[in-house]
Amino acid sequence: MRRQQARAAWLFLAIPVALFIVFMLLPIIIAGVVSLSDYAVVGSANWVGFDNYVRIWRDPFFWIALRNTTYYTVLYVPLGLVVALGTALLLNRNAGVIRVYRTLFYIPVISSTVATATIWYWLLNPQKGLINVALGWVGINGPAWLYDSKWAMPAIVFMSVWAGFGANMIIFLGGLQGVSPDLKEAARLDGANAWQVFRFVITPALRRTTFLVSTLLIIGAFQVFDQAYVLTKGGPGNSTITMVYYIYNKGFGSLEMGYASALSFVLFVIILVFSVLNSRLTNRKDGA
Amino acid sequence: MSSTTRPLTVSISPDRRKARSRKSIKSVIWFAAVTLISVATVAPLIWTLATSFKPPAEILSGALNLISKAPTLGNYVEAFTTVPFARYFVNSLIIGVGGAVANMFFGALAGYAFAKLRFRGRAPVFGAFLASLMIPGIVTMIPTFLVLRHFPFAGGNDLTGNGGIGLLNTYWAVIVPGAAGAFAVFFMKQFFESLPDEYGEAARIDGASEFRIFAQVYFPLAKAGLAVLGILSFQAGWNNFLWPLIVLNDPNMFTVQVGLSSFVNNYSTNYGPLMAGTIISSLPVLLIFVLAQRYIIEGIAHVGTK
Amino acid sequence: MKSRTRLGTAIAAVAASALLLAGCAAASAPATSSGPQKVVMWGSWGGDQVKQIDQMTSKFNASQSKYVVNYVPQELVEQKLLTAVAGGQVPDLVMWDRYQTALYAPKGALQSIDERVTKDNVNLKAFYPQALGEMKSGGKLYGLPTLVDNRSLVYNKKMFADHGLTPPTTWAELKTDAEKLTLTSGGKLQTSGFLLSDPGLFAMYLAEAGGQLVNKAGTKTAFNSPQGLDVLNFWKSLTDAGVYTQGFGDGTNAFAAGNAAMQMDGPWDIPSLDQVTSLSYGVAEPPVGPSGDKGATMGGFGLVIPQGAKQSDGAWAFMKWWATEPKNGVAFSKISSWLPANRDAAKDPYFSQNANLAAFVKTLDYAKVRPSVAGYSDVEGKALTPALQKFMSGELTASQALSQAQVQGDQILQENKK
Repeated sequence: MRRQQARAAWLFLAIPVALFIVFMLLPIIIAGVVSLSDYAVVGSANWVGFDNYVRIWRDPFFWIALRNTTYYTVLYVPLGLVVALGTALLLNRNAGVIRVYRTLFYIPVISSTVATATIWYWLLNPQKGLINVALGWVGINGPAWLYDSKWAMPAIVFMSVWAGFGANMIIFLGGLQGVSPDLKEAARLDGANAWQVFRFVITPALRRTTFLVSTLLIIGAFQVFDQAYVLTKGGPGNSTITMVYYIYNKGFGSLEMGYASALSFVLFVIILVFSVLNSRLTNRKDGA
Repeated sequence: MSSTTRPLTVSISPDRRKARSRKSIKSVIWFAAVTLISVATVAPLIWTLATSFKPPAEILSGALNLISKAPTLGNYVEAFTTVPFARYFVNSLIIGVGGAVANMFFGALAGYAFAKLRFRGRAPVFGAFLASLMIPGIVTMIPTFLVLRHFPFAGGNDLTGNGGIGLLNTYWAVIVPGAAGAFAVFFMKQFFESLPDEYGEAARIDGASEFRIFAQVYFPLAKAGLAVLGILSFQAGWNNFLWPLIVLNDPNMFTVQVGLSSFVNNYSTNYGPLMAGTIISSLPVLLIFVLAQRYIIEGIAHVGTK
Repeated sequence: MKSRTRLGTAIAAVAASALLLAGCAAASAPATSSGPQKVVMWGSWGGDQVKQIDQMTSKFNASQSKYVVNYVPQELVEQKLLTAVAGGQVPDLVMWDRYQTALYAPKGALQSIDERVTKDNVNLKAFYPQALGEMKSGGKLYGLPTLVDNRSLVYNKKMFADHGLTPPTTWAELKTDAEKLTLTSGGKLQTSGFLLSDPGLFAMYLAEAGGQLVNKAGTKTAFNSPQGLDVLNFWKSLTDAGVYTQGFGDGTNAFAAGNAAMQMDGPWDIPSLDQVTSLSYGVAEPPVGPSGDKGATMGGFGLVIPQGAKQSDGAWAFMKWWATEPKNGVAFSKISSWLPANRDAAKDPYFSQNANLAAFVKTLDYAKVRPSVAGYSDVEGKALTPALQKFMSGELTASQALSQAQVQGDQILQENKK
């Protein structure tokens, strides 16, 4: 039986693994080789050993980019998770009107970057923006957002959460279909309140989905590029330069593909560490 | 509102009226919350729609007005006449649907294997898939391009991968590298894991083959997951901009996103046709979402009745 | 049961081979044709600009029968070109922002045109020397400049007439005029007297103040100077006077919308501004600094032939036709409002008769390109502009901003010397 399972598994995996080896693993290996050279795509390349990796260590802009990216991740991942799960729970009902709301909630995901950026410029405008006007109503003097190096990144986090939660929301909605309504009803009849149902029925059932979404959020957050690029182009005062932005800038802007590859592998290790931490965290929850 | 739509189980409660009024207050709050969020999520689309009906001068001088003083369909006409938008539409559909179908199929196969089958090497192989997501795509871009270019026996290449252009300039160059995307595999693995092992074990005891267990027991239960994956992969393919641009040289194979970008140049943006094109190009994604979400709901009934 | 498994495998195998076969079939072999040779030109110009370049190529194609130039717009031309180089399939001609030449030429990615220039007796003196210089690297010439631009003062004629003002010619006048033209209501800026939105224009102001970006040897930055401080203090005096607040007009073209009286703008914006029929605007040379220095920055495009291009003769023929024949340069300006890099073309009456273009052309006489020192674009992008942004938001004082930018900038130049 075991042997049969193993054989079936490799049959199922044959094409996916073949594609993976050819179009993912092979390019990654090539990139790894490139990271040990001064490859510039154009012209000839020389081996430089681990020089690129050593150079990262004393590159001030790497540290700036790493700090910004980590800051983004720390803000974005929990917020993105809570908003996606919250909206999914809000819309996890079976009714005609719900479909309309689901679609409306999903719209930011399909909105074009230009439209999104324009609206957010308008919302975040220091003087006339809706956000600062609203803060003014409660007596708060709002910051200059995208013009202030302390507030630009939080502003980008808000926009990213807004733009991306729809996708994770439907992943959660998919996951919530695995939560048996009978179980919820049973818990309710046993006198559990909404929070207890969430904590003891829904959360455990969603553990795998939560792990999926949080892992994807971490991976995506560390590789943030578009949102930061569109709104602030790395500014003000380098406060929104992100790792991938910097890698792109080095590889394609300065023709230092070898260095860019080395930066990518360093980023890979960082993401890996955070993902493993996240997996431990989710597993511990499982035990509780 | 929701009290009428929710399938109420019969419960005999002494203070049912009180419970009901609490429920309707909840409904009002719920309704207010979702409406408020909807306003925030729909705003850019409304603005895009409003802008798409404005003449160029009005876009420059009054970008934030919602209602145009002189509404026009000119932008839509321009969007379709400046670039072969219909052709691009077909190309994007091929790439979007091809990518979605491939990811749903291979994602389900591989995800199922990782979730429900026991075999040696499961953890490291899955780990490799997952880890590949952590390498920024921009550094593997040129290597992947080279792999496509030197693909043996394709596009005039010989065994050593030279002599021709490989898979470049074909739809395959866009679809194949991501056909069994790590995201799809990860997603389907998590989904299958959340389905009970008992179904499969029971079938196995009945003597069903592994393929049959997959195809007849678990696959039908994965509708909700496949629907979500389908939406997300179609959208990823539809919105993919950079990769088709890199591997497709023939203007007849350009995609909608490339077409849209042609309304933006280094110095000015032609907002009118861009917004008209954006509206049109969002329709397929919206349509797929509306169609596919039926299965997300069907999933409720299915798992619920089991 | 076993056969079921086999069936699944068989289906999968067929699917895989179908994929590969279709891949083979879809790729067609490149066709060799007789008749005129096809020359492929890439560039970053997209959108409306494609039509502009297409007009130019069809003019050329009609003028002779040996070559047919075909322009293919490439968004993100850097990635596209680099992957093309990696794959060994380069275009014959590339139109790009000239500063890229200094980056690609030393790596051997471009063909030198020195021999062709000598053979065809091209008069290089006809070009703006600053623009020509950007096409050189290591003493060799790698292409010809085609288009130049600069920023000049674009002002709202109606607002100036309403206040009885004429365009300012000095910083001091700029400030007093801007103050008069500014309109606030309820503590909020309604009409900005002068859109001071882009700290990236520092180089221009520094030239007007009589300062330098880098020292003569190109080894160190030189903007942390009294002249540099003059610029920042001037900016501060403008924001203190309330003629501009940060974020004003974001997401809109404030000048086109009639919400700003003046801005420093380039000729590329003219077609957009002309679309707004209610707007009446004029163009004047940039105001001079405190000691009367004129200053402006020059940018623009040039044509290069990549190494490995199959039709380099055709590429050269087109490049020469566009860049060296004044009438073709003028023709493109009529199409696009961009200015020709050929001074003989810029002398054409078309430019002197058009008051707006005339101002831009006059500015070209003293406009300077950015320093050609290796790593300078990083100095500006990663050290100078970020510091200036922090100055604008009030997080750094003028002297803090400049000295911070100097430290980081010098370090970048040092790195690039290696």
